[in-house]
Amino acid sequence: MSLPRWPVERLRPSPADSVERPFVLTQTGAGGERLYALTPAAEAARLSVGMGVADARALAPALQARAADPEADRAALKRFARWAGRFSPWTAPDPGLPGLDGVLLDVSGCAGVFGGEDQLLTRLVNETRALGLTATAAAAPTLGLAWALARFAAPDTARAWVSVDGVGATLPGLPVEALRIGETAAKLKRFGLKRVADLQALPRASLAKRFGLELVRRLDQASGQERESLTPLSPQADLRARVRFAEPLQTLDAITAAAGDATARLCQALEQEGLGVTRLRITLYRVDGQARNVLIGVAAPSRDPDHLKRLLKERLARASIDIGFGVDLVEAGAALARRLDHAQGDMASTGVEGAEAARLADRLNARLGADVVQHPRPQNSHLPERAASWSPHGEGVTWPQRAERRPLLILDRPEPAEAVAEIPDGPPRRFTWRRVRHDVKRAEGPERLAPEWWRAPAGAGPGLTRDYFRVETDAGRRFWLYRDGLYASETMQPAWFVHGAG
Amino acid sequence: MPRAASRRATETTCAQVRECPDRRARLDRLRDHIAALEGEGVGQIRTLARLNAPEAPVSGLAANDDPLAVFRAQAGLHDLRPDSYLDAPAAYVFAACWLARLPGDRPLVWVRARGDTRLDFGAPCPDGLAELGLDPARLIRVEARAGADALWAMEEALNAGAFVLGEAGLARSYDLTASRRLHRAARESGGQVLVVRAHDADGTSAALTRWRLASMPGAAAPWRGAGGLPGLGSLRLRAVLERRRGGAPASFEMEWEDDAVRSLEPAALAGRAPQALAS
Repeated sequence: MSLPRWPVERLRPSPADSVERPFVLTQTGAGGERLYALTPAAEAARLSVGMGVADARALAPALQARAADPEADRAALKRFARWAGRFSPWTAPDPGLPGLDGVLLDVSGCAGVFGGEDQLLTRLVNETRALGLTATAAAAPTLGLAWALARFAAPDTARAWVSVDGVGATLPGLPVEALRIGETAAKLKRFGLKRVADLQALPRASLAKRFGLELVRRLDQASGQERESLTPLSPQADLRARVRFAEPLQTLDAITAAAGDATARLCQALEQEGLGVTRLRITLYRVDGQARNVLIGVAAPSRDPDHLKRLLKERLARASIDIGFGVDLVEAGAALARRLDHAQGDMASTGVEGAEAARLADRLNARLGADVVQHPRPQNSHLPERAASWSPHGEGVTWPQRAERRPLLILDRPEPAEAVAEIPDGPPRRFTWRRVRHDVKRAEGPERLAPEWWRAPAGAGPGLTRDYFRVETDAGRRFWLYRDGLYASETMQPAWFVHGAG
Repeated sequence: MPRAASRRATETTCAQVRECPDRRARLDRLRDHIAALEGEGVGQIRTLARLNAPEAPVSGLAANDDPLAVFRAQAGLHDLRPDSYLDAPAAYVFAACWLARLPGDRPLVWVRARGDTRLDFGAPCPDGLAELGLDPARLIRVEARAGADALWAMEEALNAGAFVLGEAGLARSYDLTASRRLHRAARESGGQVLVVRAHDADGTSAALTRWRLASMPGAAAPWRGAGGLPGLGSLRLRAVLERRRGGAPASFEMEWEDDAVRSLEPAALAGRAPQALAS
């Protein structure tokens, strides 16, 4: 599909507005600001691309000009290509020189859904034009030919459709610019080679010699002798299900319900394939040509519509979704899927099995954010803060029996305390922590832990040895303190830290 | 436990089991007993023993039995509250002991309320849990924001059939309605939820029981110790049952038997094979 006025029209979505005053985008070129893209009204005022802004203002005093932003154009085109995903799962933006922007769609196998290629093209063009964009579209067996037809043949008919047999007949009649060769086209024209037929008449070797291999390659691609495929935005042709509405949905509740319906249908498809999603993608297509993806992670592969619907509800409630003028198509896709065989749970069991725990984790993550749910994992380290790590997955953990005694609660980072202790390695007699003074009545220790020198950054030294003490205060409260550094050999004034309690 | 004592205990349990009205209660009773038999020894589940008799004797309780068993047997919500700011770890220890003695191996969901400074004494230490008899592999830590999010996470966890230890500090969202919801969710799943509140929190709650926990100086273990100070004996707690649905308040002083030396009674030596003694 070709979008010849993309840069101006994406800024001016309403066609009625642009008719009245000429609107142009400018770009700094040779000799100052030059016109970059024009509206039809500007063209009617006899402005043309490349003209200086001052000249243009002389011709059209009511001219509105704005600086062009090709980067933003490209980004917007990418979003638009995502929106075009409603016609085909394989879409890609195709930015080009001014006037040659477009979107590529691989519609192989999609036409049947819309009732034939003709219907598909009509619908594509109509829906795009409804957004206020000038659009022409063409379908052809090769990418190159479709590109050419959309830009050079279709303007008369708004759409063109060429079957496999028609390639040989259509291609020779097209101008040489239609071969996606940029500057080379002007060169060819100087030699009087205006149509593709003129090129085909010449020997390939001399063409390649004079105009470069690119020309020959493009020619082959257009005629289908060389294979070319597009790089789609969402690379996997995954399972998806969609719900389309005649009237755009305006409320989040309606969208959530629609996404639930799409998910339920997706689950049926998954059931047939024997798959379960591990990442569900909900795409909301807005009427104004935007699309928004919402991804939902699932801990264990699932195709349970009720479970997925609950996740969806939490996730959509949390995501700030700009509905715009409404959403008219909701699609549920299996972004990541894994094999899921039928499993039957034990109905009598009251305990939570792995599946139930995974569901719980999904629900909590969907509402409270990722990484909220954590399972402990034993680590091979003697330092208390490294002896356990927390990870979002908890399967298959067997906790080792450790001889060292640890408190029930452990502070994420040890907090400094002021302690009175005998030197060199006596337990604390008194300490002040969080502004409360404690008298120690019972103490055990020290448990001496050497620093993990192999983790220390190069040149930083090995770190300090810790002497851990379990203490009980006069009120019976238990704390876990350590002296940071051995007296005399490592430091003269060892600091004390409280690391745990209980 | 010496063999004669364990046989005696088994006999009394059998008698109790026969008295139990339904099959489920009978099974639970047996499970408890087996767990108690297996749990004897060092580094395993140890019992919460009663030091002093409760002021009002709890009905249906054998003399040597765990005084809290009758409360633990009820599915639902229990409120815990430290006596003072520094007693918060004692409340967690009490909760962990409570959960460790519950039958079954349901996951244990520890819902932490971020930004609650009253209860901020650190994260659960898996090795510390293992010491109190809870398998750390069962632990699921949930880091929620204090307030409605944390309460929601507790309810979801209960619906999923887990045991829940939740922090609700001073959260104003933990009111009669919220506690009723939690209680109902716990009852429906047959689970338990222990909510630790701040020492100065007030407000009503639909909990079955409300406890106030404080640390107590424990016995000394002079054979350990460091720097002239005796070592730490068994952990002691004072648990005051402030409120109880359909019952009178009570007060317990409890000791967590964790002394390896005292657990190693001569019976263990006598049971050893002769070769081991010789070497």
